[in-house]
Amino acid sequence: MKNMIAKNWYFAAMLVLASIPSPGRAQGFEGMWNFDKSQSKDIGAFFESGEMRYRMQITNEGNDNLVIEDLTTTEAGWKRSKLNVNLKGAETASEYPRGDLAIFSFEAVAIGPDQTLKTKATDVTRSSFDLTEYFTVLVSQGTYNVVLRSHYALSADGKTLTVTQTRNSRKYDEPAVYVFHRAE
Amino acid sequence: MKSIELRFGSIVLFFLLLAVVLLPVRKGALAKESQKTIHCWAMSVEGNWQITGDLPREALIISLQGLVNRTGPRLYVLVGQHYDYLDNDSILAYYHERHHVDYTMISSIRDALTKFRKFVKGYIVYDQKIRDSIVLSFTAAGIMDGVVVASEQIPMMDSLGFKMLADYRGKFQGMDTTQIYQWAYDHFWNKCSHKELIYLGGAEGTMIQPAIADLGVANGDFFYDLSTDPRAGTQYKLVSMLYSKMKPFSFLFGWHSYMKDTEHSYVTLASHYALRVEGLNTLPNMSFHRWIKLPPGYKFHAHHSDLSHLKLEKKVYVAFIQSDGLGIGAWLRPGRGQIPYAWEVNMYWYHYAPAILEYYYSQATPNDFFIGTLGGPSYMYPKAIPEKYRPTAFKMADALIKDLDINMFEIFDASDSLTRDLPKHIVDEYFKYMPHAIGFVNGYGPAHTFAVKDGRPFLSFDYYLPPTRSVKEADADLEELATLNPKRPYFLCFHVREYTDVQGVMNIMKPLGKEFKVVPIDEFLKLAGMDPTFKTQYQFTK
Repeated sequence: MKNMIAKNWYFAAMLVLASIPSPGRAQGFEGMWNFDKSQSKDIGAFFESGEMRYRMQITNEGNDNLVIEDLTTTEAGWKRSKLNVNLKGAETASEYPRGDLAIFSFEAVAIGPDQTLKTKATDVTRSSFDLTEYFTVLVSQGTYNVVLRSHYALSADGKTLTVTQTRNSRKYDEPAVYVFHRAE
Repeated sequence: MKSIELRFGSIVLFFLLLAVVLLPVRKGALAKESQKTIHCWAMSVEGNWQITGDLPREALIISLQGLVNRTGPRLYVLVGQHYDYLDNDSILAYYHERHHVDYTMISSIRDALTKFRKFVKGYIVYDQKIRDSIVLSFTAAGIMDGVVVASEQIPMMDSLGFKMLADYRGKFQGMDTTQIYQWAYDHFWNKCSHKELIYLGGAEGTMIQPAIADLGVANGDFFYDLSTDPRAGTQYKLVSMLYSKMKPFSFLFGWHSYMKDTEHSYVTLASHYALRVEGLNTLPNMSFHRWIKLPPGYKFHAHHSDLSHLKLEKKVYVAFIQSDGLGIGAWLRPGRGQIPYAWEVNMYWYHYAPAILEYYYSQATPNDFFIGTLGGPSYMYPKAIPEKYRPTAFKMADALIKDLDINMFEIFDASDSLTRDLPKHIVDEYFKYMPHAIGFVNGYGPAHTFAVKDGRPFLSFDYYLPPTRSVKEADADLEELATLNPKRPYFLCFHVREYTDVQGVMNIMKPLGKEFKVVPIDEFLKLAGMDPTFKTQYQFTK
């Protein structure tokens, strides 16, 4: 009986512990983030020319699952895309209905027709994590499999989020840097 | 009866013979007349275009220009070098040199009004507090043969003996934009010419740049500033009604409002009624240009590459196209002529202002190539044009490129916010109805419509150069594109905005390796048609 109680206590404690967010995992990313063009570098064509407005909404869905939504508004209309992220490192899938419009800094290629992106988070700390995305882009000669690596880092005061990106197709020593400020 | 017929026949014969005898004389007279010096006047409208700043002077001169240029080229406005149309003042110098246009500067409005008194019946006072009253005062000016003035100019007008034709101060107080233009429609529409409409949008707020208004005043056009955004409710309904009353393929001059709607909503709505969009609101002197005739027998000759002995190489072929190439582009800026470069042509000038095109054609170097634009005979979105009008639109565009000795055509369609691509049936229609095009280019930012038919390619832009891109970043972009598209030859069509000059583009190309080869756009298209390494693809978004 004592053993049973001890065992039950042990499981209960494990459950409680599991429900408490790990201090090592990224915290405070949730919320609405406004893109700051002036502080960003090597960003997209339409961002640069001021023809696109960009916000990012990060939602904590519990169990170390984040949903990162990109909300972009161009002269032509607005678009929303969602990315599922698991901070424990499990590979996640996201439907990415980008349509035909181009992505990337130079607007050169578009993500193909609705497709599933594979995403994996690594090196998760309290204020940062790395994210690797695998997807296929449409180019004039067909398609290309892209590996996009992003580093999400929160500032010490939690008010600024910097996303630094590199990708396998780009031989360039400067990464793209997207700077966001937390919406009040 | 027979004798009457005979007599009638003899009379007809007599007049026909007379015509044959006189025709060469008349032709000679015309030729001689075209050599005659055209005396005109010029005024500066350089200023800040602020409603309570320089606009009263600028608006008055532009409305006056419309009246005095109705029957001949009399008044030209100079805009200076801090303006969209950098070539404007240079075109007058060209007219002077090639078309015997002599001009005298007029420095004061008072002098101008005195000189051109006979063309002006009076003045229309707009309400400086209500922007829409300024816009509609130009409609009134065209109908009433008046100039538009602000309150502060009334004493000058009175002292010169002009009468007040209308006073809109306070008249539209409390009315919204739709109500104001509905009032204008009720009072002016039936008296207006319906050949064109003028959208006096562009920069808003405390500013208005109505340089195109001379054309509208000269032709008695209806002016408006109504949102073409479908979410704009009554404004959208009213502007749709106006468009519905225009004959298909009529012209919409001016430009959309940067504060109310978008270029895409504007061109989409216009295309829905098969109307031809021609920008901008800042385009000056259109009432003048139309009077400068080309020499008899003049034909446009554009530069073309020798396409007869082309050899394909395992290269990344790059061709440049500058949007808005003629007019607000970088024509007069550094580097032109040093590398092959294509310039978008405003094809409607062939009918409206052929001498402007003559100016560009005469200056073109062997490295300057012209490409017809945009979507139709003017700026039109093919997907938004009703199906029954599309063949006509494409045939009109084809006739224009033929007349302008152009053999390439460009399309941009933003009627669908999710894509810049075209479905197959529209691509096929371009191939069918534009036989004079050896190839087509689609997009603005990159798009993904690619096809080829009988060696004629239909390509999309692969690269859009943003105004702020550094050389290093742009080079990284181009190298990445070469990675993403590994087959050689790779055909990389490069869109340059008007902000970047040819020298800037040369700076981008210089660090790239020998794998990159810049070629003229016609050679590019021909080569792409010979070895279409691109994948045939069309719009996939529903």
